[in-house]
Amino acid sequence: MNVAGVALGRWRLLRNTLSGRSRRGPRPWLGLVLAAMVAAVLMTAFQATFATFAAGVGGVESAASLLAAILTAALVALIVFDLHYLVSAVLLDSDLDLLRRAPLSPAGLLALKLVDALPRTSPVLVILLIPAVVAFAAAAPLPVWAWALAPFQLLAMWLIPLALGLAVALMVLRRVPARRAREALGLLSTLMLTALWLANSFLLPKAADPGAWEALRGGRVFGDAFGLDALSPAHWLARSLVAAHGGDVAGALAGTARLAAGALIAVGVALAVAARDLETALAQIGSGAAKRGKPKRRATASAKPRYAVLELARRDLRLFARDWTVLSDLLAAAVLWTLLPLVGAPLLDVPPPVLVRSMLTLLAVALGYEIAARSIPFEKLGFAWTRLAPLPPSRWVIAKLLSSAALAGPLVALAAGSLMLSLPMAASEWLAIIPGVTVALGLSLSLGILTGTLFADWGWTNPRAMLTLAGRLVATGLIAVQAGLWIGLPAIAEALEWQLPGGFLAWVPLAVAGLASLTSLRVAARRITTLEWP
Amino acid sequence: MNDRTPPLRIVELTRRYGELVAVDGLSLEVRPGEILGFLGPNGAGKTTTLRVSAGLLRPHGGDVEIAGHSLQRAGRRARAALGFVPDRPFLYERLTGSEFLEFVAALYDVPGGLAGPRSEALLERLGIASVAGELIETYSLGMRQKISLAAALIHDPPLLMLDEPLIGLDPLGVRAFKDLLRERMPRGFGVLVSTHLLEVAERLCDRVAILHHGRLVAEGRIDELRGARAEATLEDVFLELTRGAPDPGA
Repeated sequence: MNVAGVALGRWRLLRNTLSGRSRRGPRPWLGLVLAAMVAAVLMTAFQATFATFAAGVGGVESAASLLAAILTAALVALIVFDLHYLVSAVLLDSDLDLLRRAPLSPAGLLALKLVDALPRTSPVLVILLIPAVVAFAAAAPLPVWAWALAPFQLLAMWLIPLALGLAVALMVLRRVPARRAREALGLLSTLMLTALWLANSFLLPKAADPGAWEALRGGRVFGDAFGLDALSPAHWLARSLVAAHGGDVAGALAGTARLAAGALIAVGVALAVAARDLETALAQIGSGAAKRGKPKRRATASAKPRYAVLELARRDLRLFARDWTVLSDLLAAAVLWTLLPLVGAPLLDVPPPVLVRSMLTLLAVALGYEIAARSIPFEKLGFAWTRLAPLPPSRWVIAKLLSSAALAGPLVALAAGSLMLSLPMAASEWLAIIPGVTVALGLSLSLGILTGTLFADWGWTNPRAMLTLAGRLVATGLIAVQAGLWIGLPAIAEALEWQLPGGFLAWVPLAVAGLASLTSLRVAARRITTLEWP
Repeated sequence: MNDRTPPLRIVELTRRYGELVAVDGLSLEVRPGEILGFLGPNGAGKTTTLRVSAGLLRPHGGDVEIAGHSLQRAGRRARAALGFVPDRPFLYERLTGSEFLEFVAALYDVPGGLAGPRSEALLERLGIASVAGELIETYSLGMRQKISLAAALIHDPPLLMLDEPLIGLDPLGVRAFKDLLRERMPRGFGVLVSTHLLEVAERLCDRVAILHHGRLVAEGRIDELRGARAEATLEDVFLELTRGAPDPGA
């Protein structure tokens, strides 16, 4: 392989993607701007926290303890949010046929795809890892030579989880039956999301424990917490930075050497697994693509009258029902969103009606992204029918709202039914909750449809990444804002005993949500008319 | 649309991609009962012209009239009069062939009593009735092309626009395709077919239009284009016209 020539080709590919020269691609600059904004906010917050810790009893050691905790979270985030991009790049990218025909070894192919995946898997690097290190350096200044080590340290932090994760994914996919391999890939991200949620539900109560913070501030965690010091790359990096801050060149180099060795081992393992399993996994994916089961259905069309909006909604439901990776991801996400408030409940001593309202509202808010936003890119090129067929865009949008509601409604009802059985409450309390949840659902679905039309990634391969990076950041922001408004505002009003006019909390949110929903749907309809299909 | 209304009229159409002018002031007409072959080298602007005419891309100048309806001013009527087969079919992998046709029929408001028999007839004619109950994701390239053609015909539009429609079709499919097109001609319907296969254009089309660098460089019956050289093939004419023409963007 002509490494220089191939590297130049990949560089050109990256440059053309980032410069927006691609006619069909999403707008990468928007994602970059949003990522930079989030990174700036986090860096400011980290900097203030590190400075507080460094000025405390534990000094720089305590700030390093916190840095190690943040870096550990970043490693987990890399696996949860970005590993599927790497696996998709290695197994599903459109250029794989070309690369497989070229005289490349599996290891060479893997190396190429690792480089390809860097931009797609860089959000955690940009949003979390780099801001954390820079913020730490602001609190505990580093000598110039230490900055020269930083790129290698960060590269190692990126490589270790992704290379090891890829190795595991390849080993699993090799053993999955061919016709299920593609679905297994989709399921991988759902499982990762579930794992993250479970980890979060165990860690959140610990984070709220004042004792844990005291331990962190005292710097005790740095040396011995969880026994991670010897094994965790996050702790190696933190130790290296502390040594650099103290002018200890040998200590800083030792930490860096550990990271480099870790990265080399991880890549070595991935290359070895790729050499053995990559071809089999690729063959599994390739042969499995068109071999799904055939539903036994009538071959002829019915003579019943058809209404386009209902037919559109029916098609959406069929598409969701037949894609079990997307459906299972949706169901898993619905369960996790519903249970999320339950995790914090023991800490805050929340009464049942507030807890139930929070659980159902959070589910309703999240379904706007999980169902409505994703239902648009879910159609892939089929969405071009919005421009071909003689239907006004408003009817497409109404159909989307109907089909989203037809999926979301039963999920919310199911959650409500389960809560009714597990948390007995008076009928009046339920009657007070249901209208608010219904309004929240209507708004979130409308906003979801808007987000989907604005940020759809028509070439998605992973069900958890059907929107562009910018779209996912915006969707996350919208969930946070809506949850804050629906759950937080009434709680604040109650806590502060605001004197509000009678019915204020019932009618004003309804009016605002109605207006916001209509506006979102109108903008979505307008967006459909400006979408282009080159 | 009356008998004399051209199924397609493109007037001074312009479309750019950044600095590149893909279609440059193109004017073209498909006459009633005519199959017009749309030829040109790669990158000439054929697909862009078809996609702008189908409403998938916005024009930067000019207008497109389908069966007398302006795509700009009466977009829904114009779209209702068009059947489009793109180079990459817009299919739903997890619908069956018959469900997909049922869906498209509903989009075009084809009455239920008409859509069923029409769908069955099209599936039968194109030789895919036996797989109509299977998910489209299991279809071969040729089957996808056929179901896409059936979807374009389900509402019996006055104009059919086809972008490289013969890719992946077997000889039986090609014959069925040609018969389906020819049967529409006596009713005054029109077809614009973009193809690289010059022998197909020579046999199938009543007239051809040759596009180069986004501009029309020739239009007419094949014998007209041959001029005095009766022995010349369409390939000879095509190469002569597209080799010599200067690139306005150069």
